[in-house]
Amino acid sequence: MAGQAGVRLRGVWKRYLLGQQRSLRRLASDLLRRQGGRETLWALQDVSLEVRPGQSLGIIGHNGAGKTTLLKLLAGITLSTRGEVDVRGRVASLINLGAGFHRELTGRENIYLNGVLLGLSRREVRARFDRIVEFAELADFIDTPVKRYSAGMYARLGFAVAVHVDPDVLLVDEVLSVGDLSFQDRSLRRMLAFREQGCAVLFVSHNLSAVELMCDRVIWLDHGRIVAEGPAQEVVRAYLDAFDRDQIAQGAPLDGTGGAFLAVEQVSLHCPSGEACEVYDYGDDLVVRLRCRALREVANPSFIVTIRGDYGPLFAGNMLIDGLGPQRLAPGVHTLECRFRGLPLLPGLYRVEVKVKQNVRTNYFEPRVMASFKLQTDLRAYGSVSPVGVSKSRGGFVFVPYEWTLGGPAGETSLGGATAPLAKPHLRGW
Amino acid sequence: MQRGIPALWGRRELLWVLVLRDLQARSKQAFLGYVWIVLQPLLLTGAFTFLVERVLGMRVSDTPYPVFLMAGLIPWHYFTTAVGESTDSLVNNMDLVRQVYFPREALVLYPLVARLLDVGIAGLVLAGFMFAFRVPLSPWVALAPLLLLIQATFMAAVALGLAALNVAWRDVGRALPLVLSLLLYAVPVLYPGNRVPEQVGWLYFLNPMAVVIETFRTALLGPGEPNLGLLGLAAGVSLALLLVAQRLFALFDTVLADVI
Repeated sequence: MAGQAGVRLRGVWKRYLLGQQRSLRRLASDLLRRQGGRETLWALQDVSLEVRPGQSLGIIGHNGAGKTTLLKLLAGITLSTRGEVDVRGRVASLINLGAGFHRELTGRENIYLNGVLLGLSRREVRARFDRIVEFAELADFIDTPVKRYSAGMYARLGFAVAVHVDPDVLLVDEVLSVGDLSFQDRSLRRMLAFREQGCAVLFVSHNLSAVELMCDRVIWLDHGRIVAEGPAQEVVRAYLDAFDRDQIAQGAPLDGTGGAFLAVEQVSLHCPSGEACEVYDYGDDLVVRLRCRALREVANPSFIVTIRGDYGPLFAGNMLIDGLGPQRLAPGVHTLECRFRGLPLLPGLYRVEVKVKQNVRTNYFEPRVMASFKLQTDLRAYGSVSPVGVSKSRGGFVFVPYEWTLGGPAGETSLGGATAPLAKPHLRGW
Repeated sequence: MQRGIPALWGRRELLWVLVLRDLQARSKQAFLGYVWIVLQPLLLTGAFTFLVERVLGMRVSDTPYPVFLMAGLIPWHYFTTAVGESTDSLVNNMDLVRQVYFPREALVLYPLVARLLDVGIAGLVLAGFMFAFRVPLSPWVALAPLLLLIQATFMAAVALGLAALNVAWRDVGRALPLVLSLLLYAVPVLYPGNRVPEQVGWLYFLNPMAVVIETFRTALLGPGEPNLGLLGLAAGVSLALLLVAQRLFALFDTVLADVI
């Protein structure tokens, strides 16, 4: 199968018809209004890609970007309007899991049914039966009709059957939300094992850390077009950066009214010297300046400024937890500064989220990403020798100086590490 | 990727598990289980026998009317139930159509196989009737498998066409029971085929179902011999229709997942 299997798309376009099916009523109203035809949507536009055996390709993008359409073309569920789709070998699609189950039938009967639908023979299903049941963790319920299953059990069974098809091409559409953590972990490892065995994997997910883990390369689809293609980390980064820019752009025009008593109107980022700044170095101080407007007297506001990485909050200046909030804020415009000392961050884009709380449960101002900054540094100046070390892909978002020591029969040896120099040569604004 | 009926042959097991799914699901959660299979033909036989013999006092055939009716109802009942289920099959299994590619003809054709069980069971009931009414079996009964094949060919053609149309317009599935219940009077189930007026006879017997029902009853109960020329015509019409229908279905299959 090696050298033969795999997936290739060349200049593929896919058009969908939108709107209602023709009906008598619509036909009449169309005739009256002299309208004809239905609107169309190009779900995919000029998409070309190739995945060889043993490679995995991640596909990311907003909802409606064409990700699932792409997988459906590869699965043969739907056909392209234009262009060439070439898929070789046995395809397993983890799309719409458990769709072929019959609710009145037992788990056992459904395993046979689904396995054969996915392309196995009954003999092959029989050979895999025990492994499927074990993987799904449903040994106790295998002779229960699946209508009595919980949603999680149902999906687990669907997943278990699909991953035991031993495919040459595996299509995965957002199925990692199935099951508990241990099941998710096993599913991921199972998919990684497929890749090792020479299976071509196409992986669609909104879980970007899973995409980075699973995939060598990633394509980013936007409105049916490939906007970026390349190594997983790079494309995921570009996607997140663009997402941030959109969010901040949307959040910008604030009128400060809208019924709220307290509104954060502007957030700007500054160097300690006071000048506005968007790019920082490792170890720099960051000053977040807020301008807010109180429409009437506000009691006990607690401001919280959170610095967020790609997958969540990293650290925060939190008045509520530290009990630092002013007792009252008079009507009018106020400015507030929060200074973060010595950013320990790896290069990349970070977001600044602001919220104002009245107490633990009630917000004065809903959380919103209102600014972003970039961190640029060359960690080789700190003793790191890896060129990879200049991005977040070294693992995590923060950089803490460290050293390795190897102990053994011959005593202790220092292997060195990446350590911060005592004094930075170019400290800004001090 | 290979598509259509040739691909279906390579995936015969698929057809088989769909048939099994159908039979297993039908026997569950129904107290009467397989009794339902023969209930409708039996009730129809009872009702029409009462109507024709007691109320109208008519004598339709030389054979006892219940036996005569049952013999006609078996192929007709097979036709209505299987074609009805086939027509709804794609729509009912929409999720499956969207999940994975397999020859979709399997979804349309499996009811034709699954309902063969009904034919078998109804056949046993008919045998019981014949024994009870002491009706002798004609040697022409050997023709039955061929008749079944011709009927299945015709049904496959009709089912492929209607299933595709039903995806585009759900009206088809809604209208079908009504149309089928009216068509009962357009086939020789309640009356023998020779009562059909000469002027419309050629049109009447252009319908393969009319030929199959008439031939089946003659082959089983007599009198006389089945009209083999007419049967050949029915076979030809059925085969031609199937060829056209499966071509059209293959075309439709390319857009099926987008319009369903």
